[in-house]
Amino acid sequence: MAEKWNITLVIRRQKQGQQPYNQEFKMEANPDENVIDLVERVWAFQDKTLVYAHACHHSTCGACGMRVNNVEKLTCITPVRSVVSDGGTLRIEPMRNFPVISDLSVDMGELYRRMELVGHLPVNSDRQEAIQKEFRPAGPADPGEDFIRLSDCIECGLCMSACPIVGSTPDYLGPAPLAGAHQAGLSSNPKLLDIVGGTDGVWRCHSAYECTAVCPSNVDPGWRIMELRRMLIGEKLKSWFSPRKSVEVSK
Amino acid sequence: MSVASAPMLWESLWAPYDQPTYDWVLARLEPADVILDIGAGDLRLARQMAHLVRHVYAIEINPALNIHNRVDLPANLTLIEGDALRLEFPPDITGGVLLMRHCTHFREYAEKLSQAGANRLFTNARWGMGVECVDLITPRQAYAQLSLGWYACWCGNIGFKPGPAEALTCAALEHDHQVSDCPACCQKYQSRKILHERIKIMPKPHIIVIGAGFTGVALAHDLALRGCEVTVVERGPIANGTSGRTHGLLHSGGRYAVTDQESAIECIDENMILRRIVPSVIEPNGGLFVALNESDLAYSEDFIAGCEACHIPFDQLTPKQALDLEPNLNPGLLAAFSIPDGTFDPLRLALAFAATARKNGAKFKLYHEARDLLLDGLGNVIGVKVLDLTSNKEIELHGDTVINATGAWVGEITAMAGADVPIRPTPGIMVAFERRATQRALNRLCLPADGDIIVPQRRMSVIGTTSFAAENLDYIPITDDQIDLMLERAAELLPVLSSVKMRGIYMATRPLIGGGTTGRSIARTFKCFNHKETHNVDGFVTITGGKATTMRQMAEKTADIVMDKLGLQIPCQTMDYPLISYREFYALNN
Repeated sequence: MAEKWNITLVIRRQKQGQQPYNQEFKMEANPDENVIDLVERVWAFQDKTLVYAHACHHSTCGACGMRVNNVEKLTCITPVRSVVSDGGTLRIEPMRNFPVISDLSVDMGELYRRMELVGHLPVNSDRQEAIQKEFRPAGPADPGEDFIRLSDCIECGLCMSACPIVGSTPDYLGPAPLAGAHQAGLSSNPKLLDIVGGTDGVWRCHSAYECTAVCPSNVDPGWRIMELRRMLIGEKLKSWFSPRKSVEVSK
Repeated sequence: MSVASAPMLWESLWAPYDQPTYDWVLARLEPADVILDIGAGDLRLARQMAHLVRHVYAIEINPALNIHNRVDLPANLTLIEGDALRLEFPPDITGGVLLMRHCTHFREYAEKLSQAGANRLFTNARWGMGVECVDLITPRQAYAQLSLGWYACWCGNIGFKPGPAEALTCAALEHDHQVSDCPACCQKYQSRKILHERIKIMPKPHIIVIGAGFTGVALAHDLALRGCEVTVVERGPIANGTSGRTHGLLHSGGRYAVTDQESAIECIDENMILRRIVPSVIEPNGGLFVALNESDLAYSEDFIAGCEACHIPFDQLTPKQALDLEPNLNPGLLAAFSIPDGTFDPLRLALAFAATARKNGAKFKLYHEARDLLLDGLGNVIGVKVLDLTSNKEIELHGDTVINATGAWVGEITAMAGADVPIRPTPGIMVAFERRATQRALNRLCLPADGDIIVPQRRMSVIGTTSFAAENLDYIPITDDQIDLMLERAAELLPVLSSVKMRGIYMATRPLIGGGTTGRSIARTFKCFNHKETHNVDGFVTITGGKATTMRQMAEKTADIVMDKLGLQIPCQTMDYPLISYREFYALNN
């Protein structure tokens, strides 16, 4: 028989044109359930007007990011046991640094625009995508063989919500787009060097590493931002010691 | 090369790529040529040409087509993204390539190339058939200025223009006059212009689609392309119901090749189409059917016959070959077949359709719950009353037709009009593991059963599924015995998964057609109900059933019925229409 806990959910509610408020919902929960299951039960059995985003329920779509007890979580893979104990309270709020559509749903348009701007590849070669070998399935040693797979970054926005710099400087590109630029490669687009190295690029980061801490998909944006800095310095050095290539103009 | 090791080869099975046509062109190129390839697609011809000529410019409007081929371009191949009708052509070109049978802008391209200095154009667009080399140098005169004689026009038409008797000389008759606007093409271009004007002033039919799952977004895309005004209402975000929660297997049809061949054929056809129109959400790595015991092995005869009957390409593999491809497979396997399965990202697949629909004018009202249908005095549906959940305000939407595309939930909507459809909501469980154990999708070589599919996705492996009856569709509880069953079945195919942590567990409710019989044996083919015929309720259509892989076709069939109801004859255009980036859904404003 499954364990039963009594949990209080405190959900941040807000309808357009109205003031936000907190609403309590009491419920029984299995500690091995995920937080999204509790939110879905509130919607299904207690209040059908609750607005929240979700789709795949297994961490491939990135729709269900929320703040759970002040920490950004992808709620479909966050077991109740990992964030609360029996008789405890779960505070569930929308992500920060995005405009709230209503209740727990936020408008992530800006993030998607920036991901497009840096040319993040939604599908990529397996070798390019899974830099850490342990995340690649064992395969034959045929060097000619490569696979195409969906990118690790699921554009959930958790890093954008957790980043202290995005909070204070809305124009800062942010962890996910910078990680996207690193994944695409600086040579993929001539403008990328300026975007990433410009005033709202990697140099704004204060190395808080909140992005890496909350990332549910092992993208490790913090590491990627530091890698980008290394690459930018390399480019700079190269430009000092080599004459600038003149652009050939065809007759 | 084994089929399984070259996933992208499958595209060529479906796509009208034609090497003999390319060879014809390649044989006529000169080393000094600078060629402009209009509609270069995945660059397969452009790359071949780059070996032979000085420079190749490849224009392609749809970046999705060459997303995997744009790296490592030869130095003399320049990829230009954009619309060839609007782009300025490079100044140094000597020739053009327009291999596009369905092209309707031949004259525009030929004129533009000629102005840019090109001397010839290789094309198969003029008569929509064989390839030819069109001369762009010989100056063309206006048809009106030709006094008399034989003429050949840009558009491919040839004819004789009669004239005054005194102009009828031997010299005039010997010469083939190259003209630019013969009466036939004037008529053609003129009528196209009139048609466009007429479409602009004609009131567009307004179609309301309830539900933004796979069917709803594909319908919005299809109807928007057919020139309708479309409004989609959805109580949650995009694909929050069954669609978002699929395992993500892009079916080759192999799963249904024995039990449900109608479904299998739909799957293999649509599989190839989706790979072409929306490659940015698909892992095209193929799949394996694996036999683990004697009864699985006995099934292989039926499987081979089924695949052959449904034109599903397959390769038979020995256990060693299969283990070479996927070392994590159960080493005790007895046989395997490779088939062109794939994996898709459920939300992004839906978003790509929705984004393209939105770009073409469709409106999406998310977090708007359909509360009631608006009926006229005769009980016909004329609109929907919706509650905007973001502000708790009710609004009424009026439309010419309301399409109920709510999948497993169709019964709740049809009841509002006093109608019903034979639908059996059938939930099943899926378990995601924290490890990508294979590159290919795995199927157990047996009749469809519980836990017979394992799909790799990003860094995960997802196993599914079960089949049972449900009462409350809005929340399906997860039971421990179903989880245990999945763990057991997963370990049979991939023993490594028994030591891997679970990442997500979820339930999805598929809408199966038919009532009375039990879950599994119901054909999964979709059905479209015109309620004028079923319940004498006009203005109301219900579409349900089907599966993610066949979403485009479901939308096509439903939109055909709607067009028919409205007395319009506008054909479906989605089969060859590349979708825009899924991210545009959020970037575009409504």
